[in-house]
Amino acid sequence: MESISGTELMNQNALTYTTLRFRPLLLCLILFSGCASESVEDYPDRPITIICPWSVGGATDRTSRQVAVFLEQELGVPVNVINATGGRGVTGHSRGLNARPDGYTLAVITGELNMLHWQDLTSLTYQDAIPIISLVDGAAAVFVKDNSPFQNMQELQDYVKQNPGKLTATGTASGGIWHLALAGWLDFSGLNAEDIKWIPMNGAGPSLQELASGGVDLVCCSLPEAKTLFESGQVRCLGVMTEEPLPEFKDVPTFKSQGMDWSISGWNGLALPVDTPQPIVEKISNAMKKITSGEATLQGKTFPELMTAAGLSTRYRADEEFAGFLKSNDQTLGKLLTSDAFQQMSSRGTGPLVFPAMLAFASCVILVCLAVQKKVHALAPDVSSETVTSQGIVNTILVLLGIVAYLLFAEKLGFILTAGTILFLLLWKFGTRWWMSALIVLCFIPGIYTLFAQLLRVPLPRGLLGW
Amino acid sequence: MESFITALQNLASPEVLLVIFLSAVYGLFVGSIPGLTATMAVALLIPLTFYLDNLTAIAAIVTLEACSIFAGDIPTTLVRIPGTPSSAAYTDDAYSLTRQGLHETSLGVSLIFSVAGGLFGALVLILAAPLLAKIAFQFTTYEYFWLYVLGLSCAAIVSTGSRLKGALALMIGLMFATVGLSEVHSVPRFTFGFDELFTGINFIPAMIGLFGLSEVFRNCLTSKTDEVAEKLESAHIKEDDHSLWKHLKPVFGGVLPQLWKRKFSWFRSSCIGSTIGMIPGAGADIAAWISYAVSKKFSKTPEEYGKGSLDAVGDATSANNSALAGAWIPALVLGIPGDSVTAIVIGVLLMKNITPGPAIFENPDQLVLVHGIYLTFIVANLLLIPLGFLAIRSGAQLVRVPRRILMPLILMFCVVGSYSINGSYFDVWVMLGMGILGFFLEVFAIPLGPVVLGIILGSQLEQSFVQNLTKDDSFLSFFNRPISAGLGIFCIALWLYPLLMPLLRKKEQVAS
Repeated sequence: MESISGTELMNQNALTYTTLRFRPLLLCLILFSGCASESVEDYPDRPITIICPWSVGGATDRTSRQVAVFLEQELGVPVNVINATGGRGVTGHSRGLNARPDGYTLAVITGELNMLHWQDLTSLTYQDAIPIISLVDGAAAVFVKDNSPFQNMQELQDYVKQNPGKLTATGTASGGIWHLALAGWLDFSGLNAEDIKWIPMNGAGPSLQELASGGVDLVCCSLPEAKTLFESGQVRCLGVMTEEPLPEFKDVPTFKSQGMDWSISGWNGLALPVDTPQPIVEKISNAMKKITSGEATLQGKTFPELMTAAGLSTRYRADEEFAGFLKSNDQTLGKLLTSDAFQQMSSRGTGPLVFPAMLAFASCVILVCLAVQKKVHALAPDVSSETVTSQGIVNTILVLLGIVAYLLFAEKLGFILTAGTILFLLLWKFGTRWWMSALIVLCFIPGIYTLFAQLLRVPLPRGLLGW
Repeated sequence: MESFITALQNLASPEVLLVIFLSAVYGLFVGSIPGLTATMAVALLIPLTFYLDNLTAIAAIVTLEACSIFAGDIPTTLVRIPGTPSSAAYTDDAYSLTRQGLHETSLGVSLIFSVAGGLFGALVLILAAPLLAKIAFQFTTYEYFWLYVLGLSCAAIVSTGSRLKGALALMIGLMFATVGLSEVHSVPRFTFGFDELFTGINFIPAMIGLFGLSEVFRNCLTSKTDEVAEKLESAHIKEDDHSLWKHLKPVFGGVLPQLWKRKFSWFRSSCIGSTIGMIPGAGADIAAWISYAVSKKFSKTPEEYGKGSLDAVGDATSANNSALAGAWIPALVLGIPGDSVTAIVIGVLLMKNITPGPAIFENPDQLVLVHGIYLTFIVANLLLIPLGFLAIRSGAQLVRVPRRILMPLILMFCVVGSYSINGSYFDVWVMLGMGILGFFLEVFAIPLGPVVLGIILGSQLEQSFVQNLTKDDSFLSFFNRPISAGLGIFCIALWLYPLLMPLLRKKEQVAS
């Protein structure tokens, strides 16, 4: 490993040097290498990235990292997980599924993929993904605090019927999967979906804390997510929304056993962007089958064993079966989300522009106060026009152009070429001798590349020449 | 006691010590590169933890965390780019000290106060874990709301110059935080059709742009002489003394008297740090801001704050390091992460078949692990003294490099650093935009710190605000719980105090 990266480094140095001396030649080189397409047979020959749409520590993140470790072993290249969070999953899903379909970016998809497009938050649907295998399938469950008066779902239902709008619940953002689960149950029970107030929260962790501190009455999330608090007896589970009791939590009653035929679950799985070459899809699919069947072991433990240990309920559906599930899941969720009960709900509570409007108002007040005090134009003492030189203005423009040039060319030319050229020009124009600038470039650029791309596994742009 | 000895034995094995040493070096390294956070470093370590046994894996994470939070101070002090968000509170102080040629003293204070704060945090973790977690567990969205308000107010109030300009900076930061898909409403705001803006503005590239790039612009535009380098030369009077002390003196020379002089404020800051660390969701960065504000409030020389105060650096660094251990308390006791690193730790524990919760304090096997965590915190902090010293000495060479070479290189790190957090070009654009904004804000003497904290805390503030209003739409409900009422009244008093002071003084004058 060491020696390989050593020679690579030398090549990089040599080529960076070429950049500076023989630019026309380099141009030809780029054109030629552009013609040679990347060989599918060699796949994979560089690090693979998995895009996880949720934050660190959650069930999806845990799954992604577990998959990454096993895939790394199976495919023989580093596999990294990037948590592209935010936007209720829009960000991560679009990054994963809109990535270049070369097999070097894998996407972890979750139930939100089948929900967001119904809520007009993205145009992405399950048809933008090549499904590989489904992994986690966690049924929704309803939790109350240990001192809550409710012992079962029936008591809860009766109370809500008598006192609509009295109880508060949480578990995820408004319109998220667990909200959908609870509102769907209310709708199913003939109640109004708004009869339990939903407090939007950023995930199961903070929601459970809110429940334990007495901030809300109910939490709806999956059982493994509440494992710690549940097993220590601080929260009580009223029921889990499945047909059959969960194997690890046999004592927890299902909704069906309480006479309510309502089930819903949150899932995640591995997918690839559409247009990924078939041989690559097969290679990853086969690796995943080997991993999920327990054939592959890591330190004597198989993937299913480790998932069970983490308390995650799994359901492995491969290829066609997963595709079929995606389609039916999309229809189920779509039916719920477009139902009248849900349409009405989305337009209540504090509006999205209330907070920004308050900020804008406060800013205006502050500006008026500053104007009264005649401080708006007060300049900082160490920035005065006397110190600015014409050379300084040129230098600043060069810095700006350098960043923009990097942004425009880095992806095409690769990090080393772009950054090297820009750094050399800046150093040179700032007054360093050309040979000194070249020396600094030769030392630093390959150094930074090795550091970030190899050691820290940052996906620096590789460009046409592969570096 | 038995488990304590077992933990000590396990920890003392050469392999574990080697892992601890390597993760300390790795932590120092990652922490000192702007754009790479302690969280990211820990996340990158995860695949390795599969190959390590439980205690070693956790020890590696603890060491990495402690070292990288300190290492964040190195670029903060030397080039004014906070290495980790926890250093943002005292960036101006630390960098001003560098401009006075006192960078080694400042880093020495950072190091020793970090270690002292870290050890204090470890002590709190050991003594009070189960007890104190109970208090933090009483926090609902109301308390969180006031906590965020308190953190933000502190940032605006303590910033140098006009308090109003601090408040304006805060509003700018909060405005940036509203960009993106609002978590509570699921409505995209101010995204102008850019899909990338759905996530909102990532604060790491924002921070790199505001502090780092704006500094590059300022330096380029004014083409200053290398005044810092000159000052350094004069500060290093050539001595014939070849003893070890010659090297130690610039770093540790003034530190121990400082620590002795500031023992009470160190104690106060460390208490603040571990308390805030314990509160889920509020980590080392908020701890640093609040202790900075408190420190300024009690200081005899508040006018020095922001212009290079060693007291400020010492107090804030001890708070951010003591917050680290504090964050482990809710993670271990309740399985609820105190900050983003402990969020990953919980994942690691679960994968290793350990469910965090009160039970791990009773199960003898797992108690060994808990004691191992305590011990690692102590070992890691002690290890930080020699390693941190070496890092300071090698980092100090940075300030001697001429600016015409340093600026292009810093620019390169700004670009790569902002790209690396998410591997997205959009973040580099954000960094560029923030750099330009930061430059103009500085020209108008508007402080940058509150802008960064606004971006970090804005969405949480809004979330808790909307959550509270969803629960009960009357504003009185913000005060209906004892802790929230206390915090709320304190926050309001904090803002009204300077407004009422002149009135009170006038009354006194009239009366006399």
